[in-house]
Amino acid sequence: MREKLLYAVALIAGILLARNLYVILLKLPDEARQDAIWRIFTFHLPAAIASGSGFFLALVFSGAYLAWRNLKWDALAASITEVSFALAIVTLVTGSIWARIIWGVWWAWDPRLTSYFICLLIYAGYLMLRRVIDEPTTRARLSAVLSIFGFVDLIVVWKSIEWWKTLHPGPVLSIRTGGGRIDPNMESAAWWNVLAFVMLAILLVAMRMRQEETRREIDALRRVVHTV
Amino acid sequence: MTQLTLLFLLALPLAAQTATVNGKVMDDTGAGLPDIRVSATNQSTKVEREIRSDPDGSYTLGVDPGMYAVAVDKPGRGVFAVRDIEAVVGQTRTVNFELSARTDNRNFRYMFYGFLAAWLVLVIYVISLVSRERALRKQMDDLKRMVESERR
Repeated sequence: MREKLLYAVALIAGILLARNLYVILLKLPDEARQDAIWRIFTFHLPAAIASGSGFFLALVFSGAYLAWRNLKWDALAASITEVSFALAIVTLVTGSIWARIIWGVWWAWDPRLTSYFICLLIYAGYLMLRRVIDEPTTRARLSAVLSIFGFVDLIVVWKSIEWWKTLHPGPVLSIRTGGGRIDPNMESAAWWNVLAFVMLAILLVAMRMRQEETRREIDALRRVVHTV
Repeated sequence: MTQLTLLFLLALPLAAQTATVNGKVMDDTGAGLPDIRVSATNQSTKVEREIRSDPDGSYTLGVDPGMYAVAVDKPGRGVFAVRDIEAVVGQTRTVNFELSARTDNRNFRYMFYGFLAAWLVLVIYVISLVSRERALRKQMDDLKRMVESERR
């Protein structure tokens, strides 16, 4: 049943991504100031939203672990964090390529980019920490604390374009600005891709969770081997 | 004659309430591009005015006051739009368009780099997930065999 559900999610994500690529590349026109490069926005923003939402969910499950000390929540938080980290890398790389054309540089130490870079370092630390600590409860506790730190920085990332004058463009989405900052067709294309990226993220988290289950089975088998 | 004068005088305040958006559509050498469709769409009412550029590439549109998206149709490449152009009564806003083929190629190339990079990151992650899963399954099978042989 679970396998079938995963295949269904994969199929929907695939269809959505194919449909979105068709619309973005062949149906939508170029933008006046940015020309064709604006299309990177339709990958950059969905990856950022999917990863940001993932980090938030990881915070919730980390909190759940600290409250109830159930390793199931820790496994879920770790799986979501790893997938969100991959999506955050997509955000960073696509943003950098866009910046090369629009700003003329690959990278600028402006508040949005710097805080995002720090955020990635924190979550990279989270993933490395999990590899070096073998004891499950210590690993889960320290990971949960680091997840909280990471999310505090993510709030700074989110608000940085409002708090400081940044090189990074200000808010453009209608839900934040009330509309008028972006062409509705372009915004709609980005939202469709948000849906596709969220589906893709669900699929990857499910794959990653299966590994956590396998790992738990391996630990149990190891204990049996030691007993025998 | 009196009626015509009266009509003219009545029309004057209406004419004075319009704003003007003008400019030039050029290629990357600065030469004007004729017969390009230029439109101005009011961002709140969605009312659109359109005109074709003159032989020297220039255009002039009379519009009601408001915020406008001014766009040109570039043959074979779609619409270029500049948003948030504020048209004010009695004032002229100039919006020039430079339709450069040279910049487009570089821009297009980087757009594909961006798409490629995004997919590459995701594909690498999926490959790492799959290989990790295989390694874990192999580890589990080995342990299961070990437990069974020990029990025997």
